[in-house]
Amino acid sequence: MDDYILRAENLQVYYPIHTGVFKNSYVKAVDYVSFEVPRGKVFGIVGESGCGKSTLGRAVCRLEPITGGKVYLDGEDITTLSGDKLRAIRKKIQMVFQDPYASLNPRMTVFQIIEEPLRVHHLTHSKEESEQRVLALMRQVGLDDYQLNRYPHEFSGGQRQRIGIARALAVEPEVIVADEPVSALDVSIQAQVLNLLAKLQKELNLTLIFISHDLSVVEHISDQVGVMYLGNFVEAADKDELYKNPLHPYTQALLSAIPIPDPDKRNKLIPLEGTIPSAVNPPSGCKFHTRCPKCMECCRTIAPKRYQVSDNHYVYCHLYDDKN
Amino acid sequence: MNEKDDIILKIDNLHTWFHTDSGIVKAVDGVDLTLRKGHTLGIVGESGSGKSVTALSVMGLLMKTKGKIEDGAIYLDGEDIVTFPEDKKRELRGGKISMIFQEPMTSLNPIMKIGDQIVEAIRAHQKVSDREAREQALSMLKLTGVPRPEHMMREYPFELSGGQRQRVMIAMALVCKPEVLIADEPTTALDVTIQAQILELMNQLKKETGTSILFITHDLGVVAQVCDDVDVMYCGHIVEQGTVRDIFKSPRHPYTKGLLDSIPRIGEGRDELYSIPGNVPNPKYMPEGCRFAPRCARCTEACKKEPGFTDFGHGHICRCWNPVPAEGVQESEGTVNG
Repeated sequence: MDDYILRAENLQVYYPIHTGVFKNSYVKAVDYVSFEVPRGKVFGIVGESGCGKSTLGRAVCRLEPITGGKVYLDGEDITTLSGDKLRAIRKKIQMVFQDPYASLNPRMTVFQIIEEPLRVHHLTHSKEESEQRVLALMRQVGLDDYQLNRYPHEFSGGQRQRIGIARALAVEPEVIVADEPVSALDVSIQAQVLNLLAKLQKELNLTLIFISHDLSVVEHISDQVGVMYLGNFVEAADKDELYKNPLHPYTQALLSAIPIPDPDKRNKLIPLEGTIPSAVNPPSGCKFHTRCPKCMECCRTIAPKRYQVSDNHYVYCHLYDDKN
Repeated sequence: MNEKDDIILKIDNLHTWFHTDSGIVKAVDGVDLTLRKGHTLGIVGESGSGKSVTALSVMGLLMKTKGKIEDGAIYLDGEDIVTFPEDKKRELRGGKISMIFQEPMTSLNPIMKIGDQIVEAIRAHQKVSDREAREQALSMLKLTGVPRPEHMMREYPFELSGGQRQRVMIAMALVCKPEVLIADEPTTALDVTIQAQILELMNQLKKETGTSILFITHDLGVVAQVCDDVDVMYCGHIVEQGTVRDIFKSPRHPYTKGLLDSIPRIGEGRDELYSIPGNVPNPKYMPEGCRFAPRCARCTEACKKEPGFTDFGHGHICRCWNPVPAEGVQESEGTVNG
């Protein structure tokens, strides 16, 4: 159990709908998801909008109400913790958010933003100590000392993201969940922040859960990658294995759609029918069957189990059931 | 002249400035570019590079902003459209030139049925009956590959998905057979599988209708997949211009090279990405001389003066004092460090 710092078992996050035609039904944002993240590794979660990747990330941080299933952090069941006990686990798991404009309080200085977690968790005991600690954190993420008393609006997007990272690092967490941390940034700035995250992850031996819709970015930073579709993982494997040998038809289609930055290589697109169905009334059986180019009879009715195809390579697809 | 006939849109020394309360922002500051008939020209740049303002200048859509074309000319089919009176510009928009935007939801009228919106666009430019316009609208919708086009004619924008909305925008933009289509980040708000479908659709329609496309994006992968020629913009300037192969295979401007090196590529296994240091400068305090100099590893004394274009042949030009040597050419150590 100790090999895995974070583990989810049959995790469900459902949002009830109170009005309209779908009254008394649920948006099944995360629907029976199980996965585990080895200590000190980078686990990438990719998927298109609405697949539940952000909800999953927030749920394992206990920032989203959990409908069912279990989350274990370092072997401890954190699914139902509250009050002081919940606050205590926040020292172990922290989050970096997508929008560096919305996730920093505009009325607080950089010092106040980074110092807040230190204060909340009683990690420093004097103003001087706090200041030293904040300055050290700022240097760690590549900010300068003189920026200590500035406000977020005085910073560019990339610098703001550095502030968000410093805030997450302040409590010396073991796990960081980064939800689309570079999606709002320009290409040249994106590389700076990716390099910073990779460097900190190695230096501090952090476990990083990296959520993104960008398959190239995820490939670059991750050790293992899970692909989500409509509230479930469809495939998960070590990075190289997943990108070289994608097995699930959805993963294959997704990879075929990445525009290659080389004019001599054209995409060999595997076309998908239609668009992502609604998470309120997801298709029966395998949720991907309505768009799957390899759909079989059983896919319409029976939800696929998790099939292990090689060491660490799991796929949720009937094509890989030995009985077929 | 044959070469002249090939050019559908030519922008000549365009300056579009914004007069704000705190000073002049020179968003587009001397841009020259040419779009060849039936080709796709990509304009690549980061936020604030002036790529969208260039597009709005061509469309004559600056009225509601504080922007003004201070100098320069925009020739469409040989005619300078900057000097056109407003009613003539209005005729152009949606007629000879049309545009699709990044966010299809905010560019469609939310309380008007899809069919009515396309019909409106047709009847603004052609003297046809409502019935004929409807037929045209429907056949255009069919061409964009939306499911159940007859049904969609009666739907409102909120009933459609992002990809479908963008298809409707494309239908609306192309229905009057424009000579030039300006696409401003048309796939940025879309998921990658939908993006691939839209890009394929644009490529296919370009072949069928012969429309020339000005494609604005920050995504180098998309540029490589759809463009014939590319202009790279930085801080209101074009810093490099060439064919898509020139730009991707032998980039000569340090900024172009830096951008290409900073994108993660699948299967490459680099530990660290190259990253261009620093940030895009504040447009109100542009650096003197070369605008990229403060972030450039190849910066020298010469860069304090504004560089002109160096020509590398067949239209590949770059605005730099110390261009990156061509692939395969060894550079002497002195120049690297100099």
